[in-house]
Amino acid sequence: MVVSVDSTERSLQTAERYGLTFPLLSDSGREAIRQYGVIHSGSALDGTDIALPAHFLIDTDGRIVWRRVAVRVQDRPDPKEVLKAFGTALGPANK
Amino acid sequence: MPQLERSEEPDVRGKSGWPAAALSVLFALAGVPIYIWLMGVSSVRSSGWPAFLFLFLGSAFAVWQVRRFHTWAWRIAAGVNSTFLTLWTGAFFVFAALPKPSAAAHQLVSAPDFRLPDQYGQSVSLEASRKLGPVLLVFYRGHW
Repeated sequence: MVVSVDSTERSLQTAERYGLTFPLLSDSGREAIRQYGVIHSGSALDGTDIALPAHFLIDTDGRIVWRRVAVRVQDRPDPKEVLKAFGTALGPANK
Repeated sequence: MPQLERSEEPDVRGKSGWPAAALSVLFALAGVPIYIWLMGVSSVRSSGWPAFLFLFLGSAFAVWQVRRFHTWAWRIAAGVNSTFLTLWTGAFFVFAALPKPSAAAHQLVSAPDFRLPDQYGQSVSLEASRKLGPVLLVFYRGHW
């Protein structure tokens, strides 16, 4: 699931534009963003707070088992790395 | 009969003139659209190496040509290419730098639960979702 400060309408536009089927959550109150420590103060063009690009993998017990927080705007983890972390989280029976 | 003056420059100066210098600038700047084209590859996106490669080669070549021919065409090309290399380095590393996240981002062990609306206005709970399987939670900048 993906979280940003975009409104529900904006998230719907994004989802339709790219054909995304997973949930795009709207955190306009910056609640989840703050809880996970990924707030980027004043970074929006209008001076409001937005989220730092970050990935957290959460297992079924609610533990964060893998994470990546971007250092620069263009940093994103390699999809292979993400899939590998997923495989580990799903258990030894899965690749 | 008076001798006709040579109105054309000799071949060797033609090679060190504007067309070649202009081509070196185009070559250098081509690195940026090439970087954008290859941005799907995460190693390209994070390092920006195609743009750096073309900008550096274009700059180095132009500087070498300046040392060989001392023409204004090559001096300008070298200046333009190095300027763009500097601007790109600045944009890619300095301007793109993000602030450090708060301690929570690296120290949290237990994922805080939340309930937020999805793109259809439906309430989604992290706790309910993760019970079905591991959840990849991605924060993104959105339309800033």
